Amino acid sequence: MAAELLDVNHLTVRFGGLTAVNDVDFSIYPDEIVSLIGPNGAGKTTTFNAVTGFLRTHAGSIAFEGEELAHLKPHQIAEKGITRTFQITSLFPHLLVLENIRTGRHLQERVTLWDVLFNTRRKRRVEEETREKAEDILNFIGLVGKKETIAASLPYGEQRLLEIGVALAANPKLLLLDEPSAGLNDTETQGMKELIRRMRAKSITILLVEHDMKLVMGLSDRIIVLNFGKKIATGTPGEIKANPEVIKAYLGERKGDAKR
Amino acid sequence: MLFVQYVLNGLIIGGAYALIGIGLTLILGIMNVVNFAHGEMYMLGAYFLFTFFSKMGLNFFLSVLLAILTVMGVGFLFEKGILKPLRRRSIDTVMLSMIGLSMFMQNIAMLIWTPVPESIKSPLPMETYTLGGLYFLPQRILVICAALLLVLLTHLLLKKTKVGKAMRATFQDLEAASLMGIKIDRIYSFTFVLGAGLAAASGALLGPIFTVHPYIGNLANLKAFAIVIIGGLGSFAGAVTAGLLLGVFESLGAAYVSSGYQDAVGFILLIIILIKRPTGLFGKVRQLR
Amino acid sequence: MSRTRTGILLALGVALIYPILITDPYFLHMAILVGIYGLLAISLNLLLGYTGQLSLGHAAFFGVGAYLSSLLFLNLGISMWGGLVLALCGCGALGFFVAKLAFKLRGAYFVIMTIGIAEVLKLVALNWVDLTKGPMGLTDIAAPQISLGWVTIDFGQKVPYYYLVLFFISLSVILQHRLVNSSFGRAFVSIRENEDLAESVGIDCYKYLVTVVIISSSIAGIAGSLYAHYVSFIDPGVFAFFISVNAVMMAIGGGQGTQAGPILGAILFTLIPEWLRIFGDARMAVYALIVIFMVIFMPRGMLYYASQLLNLGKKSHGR
Repeated sequence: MAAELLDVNHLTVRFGGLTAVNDVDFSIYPDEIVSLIGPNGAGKTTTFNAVTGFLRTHAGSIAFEGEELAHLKPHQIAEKGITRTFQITSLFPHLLVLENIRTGRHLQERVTLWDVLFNTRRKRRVEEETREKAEDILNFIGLVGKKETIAASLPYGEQRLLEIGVALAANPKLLLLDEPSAGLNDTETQGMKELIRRMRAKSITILLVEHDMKLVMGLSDRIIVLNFGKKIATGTPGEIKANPEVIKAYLGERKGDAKR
Repeated sequence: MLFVQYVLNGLIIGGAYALIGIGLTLILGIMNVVNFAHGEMYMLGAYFLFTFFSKMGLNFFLSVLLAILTVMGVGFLFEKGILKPLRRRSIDTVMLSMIGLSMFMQNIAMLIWTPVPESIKSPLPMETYTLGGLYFLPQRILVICAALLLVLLTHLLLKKTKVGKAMRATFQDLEAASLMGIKIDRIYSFTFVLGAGLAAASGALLGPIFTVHPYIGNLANLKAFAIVIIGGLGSFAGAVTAGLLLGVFESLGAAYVSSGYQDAVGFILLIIILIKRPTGLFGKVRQLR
Repeated sequence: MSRTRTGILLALGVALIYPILITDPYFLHMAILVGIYGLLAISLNLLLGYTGQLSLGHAAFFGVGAYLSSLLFLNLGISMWGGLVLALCGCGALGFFVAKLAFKLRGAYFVIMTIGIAEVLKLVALNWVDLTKGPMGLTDIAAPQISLGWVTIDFGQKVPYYYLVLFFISLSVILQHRLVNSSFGRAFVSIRENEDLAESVGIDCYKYLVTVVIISSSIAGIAGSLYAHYVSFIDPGVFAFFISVNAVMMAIGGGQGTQAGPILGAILFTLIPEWLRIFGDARMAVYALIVIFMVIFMPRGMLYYASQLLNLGKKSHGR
């Protein structure tokens, strides 16, 4: 098996008296699509926030390609190659769709203040590159026609696509998607599924938090299940479906019907 | 002994500072309004005292009361006329509007009362009393007694009365308070009027001690903000403590360092607090956004 | 040639021949002030319009620039050119410290702190009489002369000074344009739009905030220096709250976060206080009403509402 891309060990995150993530271990391997599932409040988004540097960890290690991430700031973690989307739609609302994507490309733009002030050749080349790459991404996510639209005025489903586009612009190796299909209708969810597969085909490893069981089962190579902050199971979709612990945790929720 | 005298003087002025601070921390904490016009309530308190007492010859204590009530009325108009319509706007818009309002008030005051600084002669005897080696001016004793009384009354209001509880509930969680049936509009009005009244009281009490001119609100405002931030946003105890501390440090600073920089003491303390402990002495983590 | 390009060249053309068309010294004086305050407005617009941080203490940098430049001239005999450099560096350094201090505080806390800093500096200027002559202020701050062969340009005269200010404004407009249309500009705007998202794609918001504050404060410092050597007299009033407020009105009134906004705002808010003189003592009261009106009813600035009115087919671009 290839070396782990992301190796999380004994991760613990606390909020005051509440332990939201409790001694969680898991690994993600390159080119996988892994889903992180669990009932509400299980600690899934908290895990995302810890991995991407938005929350401090109280114990444990988060190693990405062998490097420890636990005390880095979000922008440093993005530099290492991990980006994410957020549970609540998170865009640059007043900017055009194209500008949203261009902003996402920040890490790839190696210009200094000198370059900018003196409008050097390098700066102009980088601007051109950014423009091209942004168009590529827009094509990839299917929003080329809307590139001059203001982000806040996009319909909800397209906003969610744009979010992924922005995260992609940073050229990540690992992409964390927080409930990408929340609020999407059937057609949009199908589109999202295909987009995720296309991203994996481009060698982007995907870790997603999801409540839509049909999507999870149909898309994932592996599934990690959390409940009350602890990992209770991990395995292939088939294994998880049959896992008694998992079924117990979801008792009261009908499987495959947890979509909002 | 001189040191104790300075501390005492500082506590007296600090008592008045506490009043402005309490008003502002309530407005800031409960209404989320950055009230840059708060200093002007202080200024109007002093000027209305001047009008009622020095110009119209009414009884001093009655004049103080009337001044406070008048400013509360003005505050009520501001809240209903300006703050309420702006409630959904961004915090920057409200801030800048209040700044505009503050400039407007200063200049209206200048037109009404002229820019010539006035002094209000205290009706109390001007001789100092000594007790245990310390000197007391009756006007200053009045200030500290009145300040203590008002702080106590406000504390009781917040803790014991229905409206006080509603105010505290609104501070903690606006949505929950409104869902519980608390009429937020009324609470906001009440809070603003209360804050204006306390600031006016401060202005009226300090009026006879310092000169009165249209721009005294500026410094009062900045000090009030310093007190609120140092004490902790929305914290009653914090505003009182910070107010007293500011008074004492200003007094000591003027005595031992330099009187010219007296007004800078507040900012220096503010900057120290912002670096060391941005939530303030008693504050909980809450962002002003 | 694009419409914007034509507009800019036209404006530049008018600006270049302005002193030839208008010889009345009063209007030249106004134009110079518009230029100096325009620099201040551009500097504030970078901070407020692009990164979205409101500063109500920009008079601090303006005043420090004025005093540094003046003191360098009066005490060490170094001409305005040196003063400009010192103002740029000194205010840049001050900006660095303010930024480090202020990054932890946002929104209203930052605003209050900027006000406080300007007030403290005013108190220092008032009380450090040995250095600043206190409320008496500094006088005879002369502008330099340059000898080019047989021609001497005396910047103590209005016309040459006008072109000097025009030069600096043009430089700033170019700088602003280049910054805005770059990864730096996009980083600045991302801070205003969504800081968490910006961080998540690798934008170090702290670094960019510090950068913009330093650039902003440096330009404001240059404005202060140009002011001092033009009016040749300064006092602690250069730290006045009114200057900070008026600068904000320029940045907002013209149109926040746009490139033409600050210039338009500078024209408006240099002229408005002048026109209000007809109200005599009520002048500032009317000004305050204008502030309230603009802030509430025209938060997007004149440019936006004017273009809506005239229905120019402008690409709807950000704020």
